[in-house]
Amino acid sequence: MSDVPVEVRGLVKSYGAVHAVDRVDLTVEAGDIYGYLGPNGAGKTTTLRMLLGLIRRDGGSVSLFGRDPAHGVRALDHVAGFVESPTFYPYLTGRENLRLLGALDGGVDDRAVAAVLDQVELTGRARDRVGTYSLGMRQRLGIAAALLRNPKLLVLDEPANGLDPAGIRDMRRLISELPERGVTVLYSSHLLSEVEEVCNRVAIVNDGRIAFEGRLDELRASFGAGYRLETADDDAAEAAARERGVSVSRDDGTLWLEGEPQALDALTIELGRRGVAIRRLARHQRSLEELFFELTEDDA
Amino acid sequence: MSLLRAYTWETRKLVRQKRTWWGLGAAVVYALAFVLTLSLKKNAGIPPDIPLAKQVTETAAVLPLALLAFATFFGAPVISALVAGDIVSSEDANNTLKMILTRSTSRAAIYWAKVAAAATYGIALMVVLLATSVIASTIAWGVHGATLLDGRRISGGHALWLDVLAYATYLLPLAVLVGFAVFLSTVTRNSAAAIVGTVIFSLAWQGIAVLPGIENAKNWLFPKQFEAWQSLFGQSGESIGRAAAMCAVYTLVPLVAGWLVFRRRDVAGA
Repeated sequence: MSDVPVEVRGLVKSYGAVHAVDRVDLTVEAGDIYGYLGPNGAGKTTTLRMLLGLIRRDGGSVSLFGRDPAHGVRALDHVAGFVESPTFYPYLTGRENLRLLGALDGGVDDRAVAAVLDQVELTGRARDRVGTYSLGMRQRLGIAAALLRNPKLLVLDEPANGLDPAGIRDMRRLISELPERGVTVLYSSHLLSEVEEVCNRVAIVNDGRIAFEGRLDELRASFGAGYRLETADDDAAEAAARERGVSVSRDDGTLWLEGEPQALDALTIELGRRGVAIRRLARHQRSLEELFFELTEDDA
Repeated sequence: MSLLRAYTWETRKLVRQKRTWWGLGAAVVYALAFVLTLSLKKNAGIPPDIPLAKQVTETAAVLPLALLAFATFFGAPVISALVAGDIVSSEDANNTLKMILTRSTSRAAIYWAKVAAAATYGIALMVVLLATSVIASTIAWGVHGATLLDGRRISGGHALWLDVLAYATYLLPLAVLVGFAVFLSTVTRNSAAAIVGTVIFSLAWQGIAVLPGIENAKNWLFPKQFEAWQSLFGQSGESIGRAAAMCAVYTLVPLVAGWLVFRRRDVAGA
């Protein structure tokens, strides 16, 4: 058995002429909270379905801890999670649904069921039929069902769907703690702020293809450092920046600079020498959202 | 073990679903309606081609047989398909396949557990129908001896035992209906289509069986197997062994076809 939770190479899935997933490569290392991002229809859920053996792939390879899910459920021995919203039998209670899923895992004792229900704060509703649950409660029950397997890899597709702000905060805390318990998380979401908050590595997928895969800081670095400059004479400042080889653009009366710190140092000295007053010079940390749009809209 | 666990939960799920009880309730109503009609209407009877028809109001052992004969055309396919036709497609309706197929039980265990649960329901249906009809007709007419078609006279207790064997024999063609309903449930992913399709399947066979020029093949056709139980009562030309062999073929073909579809199906969509 391999130690690498997820290794995907050249994954392909087509529906007729549409390439839903097009030569996707992913590597999720042990201990990662790995964000899988993309606009609607980018192929995120299709990839996750292939990872969990729910749909057949047209090409490429998938390995979960060294096992191929296409060869049967043994590959999912240390894997749990859900794609799209978790679903249950509406005529069974929350507890019965968990006991059923536990039975399909080889049997589970009632204390384990009670523990995961407690973890997602559903103990009080455990005896109610799932048909009476809200979307957020089903989402929490889905997380409980996943945790019931004591997974080493947790695959979560839009887990914050239907949760209220307190629920999202609790779920974020829960996910953040999982690596300490030896659980790797593959977290698919369109909520970029959520991913930015909890994930250490991301893949951004667009039109079925990976536009970026790596650490968040690598992603930011790949776009260079950004600086915001306000001066008493922006025309002179822009000319000086260009002379110094600093990339410059204007937006709403603000100069946006990109360059190495040494070049920026030289530029500030030069502006002083030319008598151009600097009113503001601040490093601008790009949000994941900005990077995401830059990647996905450029590709589009 | 995983098959047994999956089967246990499939049966538990059936117990918790209304349609299961509707089907069993329909079997009770069906039996009681016959007893009431025959009890209340003077000179009432059942068609003479049903074995022991003339003795229907003389001993409790005959009415259960009449119910079997009448159920063949419509009742058996509808009531058996009510559950068997829903057992896979309900997973599509609830969108639960993606949950159960990502646990540690194989697709094979899940599929065959569903088949076993649907078959269990078929058995329960026969038990309820037999028990209701025997109890109700015993209250109405009592348990008395009966004369078989070959002229042998048997006791009431012996006749009731033959009823049990007749119902057990009737499970053979019922298994064909269950198998076909499970197949349609798997392929169409739609309970209504599976139920209606099973009824059409049964009626189509009844139509084929009355086509001219196929007399020699009739014994091997599906509808004939519904009459195999009559051999227990001295009816010549019927064979339980032949019914067992033919029904095994008629049952396994759709079940294996359903399995091949289920094994390879993509679980996609919301």
